[in-house]
Amino acid sequence: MSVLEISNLTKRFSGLVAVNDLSFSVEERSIHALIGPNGSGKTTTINMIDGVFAPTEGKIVFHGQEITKKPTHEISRLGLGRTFQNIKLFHTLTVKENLMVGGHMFYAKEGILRFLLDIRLARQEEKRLEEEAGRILELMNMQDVANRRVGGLPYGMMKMVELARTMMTAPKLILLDEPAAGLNPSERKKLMEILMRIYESGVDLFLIEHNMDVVMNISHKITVINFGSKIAEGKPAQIQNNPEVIQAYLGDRYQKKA
Amino acid sequence: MIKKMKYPLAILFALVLPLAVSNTYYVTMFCLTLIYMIIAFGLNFITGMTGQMNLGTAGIFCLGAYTSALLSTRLSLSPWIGMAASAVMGLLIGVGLGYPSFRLEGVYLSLTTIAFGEVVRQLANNMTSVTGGAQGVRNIPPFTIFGYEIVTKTQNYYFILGFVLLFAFTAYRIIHSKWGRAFMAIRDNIEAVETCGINTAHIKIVAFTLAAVYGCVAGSLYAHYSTYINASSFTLNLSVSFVVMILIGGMGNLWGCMLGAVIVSMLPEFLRFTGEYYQLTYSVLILLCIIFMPGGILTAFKRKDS
Repeated sequence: MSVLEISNLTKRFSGLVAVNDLSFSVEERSIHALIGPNGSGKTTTINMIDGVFAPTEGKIVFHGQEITKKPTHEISRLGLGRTFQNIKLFHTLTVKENLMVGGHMFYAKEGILRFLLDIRLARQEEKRLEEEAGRILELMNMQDVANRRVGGLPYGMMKMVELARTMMTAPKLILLDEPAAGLNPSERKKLMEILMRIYESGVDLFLIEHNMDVVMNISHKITVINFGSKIAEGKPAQIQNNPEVIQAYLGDRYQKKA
Repeated sequence: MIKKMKYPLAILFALVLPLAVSNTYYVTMFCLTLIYMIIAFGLNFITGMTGQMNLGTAGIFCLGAYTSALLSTRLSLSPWIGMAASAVMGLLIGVGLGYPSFRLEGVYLSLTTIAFGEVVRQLANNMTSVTGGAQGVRNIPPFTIFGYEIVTKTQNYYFILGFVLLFAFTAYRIIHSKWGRAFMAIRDNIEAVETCGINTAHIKIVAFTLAAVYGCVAGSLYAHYSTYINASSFTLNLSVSFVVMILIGGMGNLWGCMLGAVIVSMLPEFLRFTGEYYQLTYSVLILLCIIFMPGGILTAFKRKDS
């Protein structure tokens, strides 16, 4: 069964065709990577899935529900989380507070009137949010930075905070836009461990990534696009040896020597 | 120790303050300062925390004051009903003023709020049949508690202080909750808030509505306290003063709002000795505050944390 089904997705920015008739599907219990050269339409694809902009044509179905024209916050409530290529955090808040914003609609749904009138309920919600944030921080080994202000954290840690915040939205699938970009080798190793831990906790992953160590190591399936169109799809080993992919993107560096 | 004691100490200070000054003129000033505090608490939600500039606060204050004043003078309703109506007016303004903020940002939103304030003032000034026009509204009855009229300045002081405490407590709860965090998250990065499943339009409306309800109730208090209101008090200048309050006090912080309200309303008094240079001195002092303490005066006392 597929959790995310993209059919005939096209995005035109006036004259420019950023994504052209793209179709693929993310299978349940899988880590799926989308790779391709710069400017091939990867981030545009994620932005369309996430509702940042509407596709010109095509259809997106998530867990059996069409989300093509839904706004971002509704898509997120259905269990589709995402992280950004250029980290988007709440810089004046602490790590824990960032996570608690993430859980706002999932563990503390009451409206403002009930909040104002029912002090006990408000306390319960707050406690629930804190517990949940604590649980996610533990899952990601981040308890020690819980009360640090995000603005002062190192880059690699900020990326982790963003991922942790997404985990607070009770996601079924997370779209990761270049999670390993800018990380040093040891941070990358840690990232892969955490991604695997998240995957094992029951969340499917869809990632865009340029770092082939990460992609080839963790993905079950890879879709390759170039100039907005799909040029190949398959298991990592198949992709590494696909002549068209080698020519367009990978080069022969990753080719398995026969 | 000091941290725990600061709330009871502040309340105690506020309670004895009018007893310590003999001059009723000062008590009048204190009453106005308290009313401004409520408005600053409200404005803090939208401008201090959510980061949406609002230069129409005088318009909110004006609508609140007129709603309560007109209901109690023209229809002879109890000032309490007038205040409730003002709060409802606040709800309407919140939705009406919040709506443009979905599509407008920065300078354009500021202009919209300025326009709102001016439209309200012009209406109050020119709809003579309803508002009494430039004559203003006279003989606004005072609030009564169990048949007991709140008339003198000192009585008014304690009456308004009660509201300040209630509104400060509510604001404190909001600031230190999921609402406060969502407001600040919108200021920091609005796209990311959407990906958290939060409808940012809804949160903005909540912030605007809170600001408007605070401002309108403050307006109602003002009308019945001063017994006379006139459209010419609710100028853009006043709106700017409210922004200055939260700016120099420290945004996002109740103590900052209170300090700002005290400074903006009291400083002119202390600068009286400067005579004709008063406006200049006042402006220069405010400017220096903003340049050297951009996070507000309170940040000068706070330890830097990482």
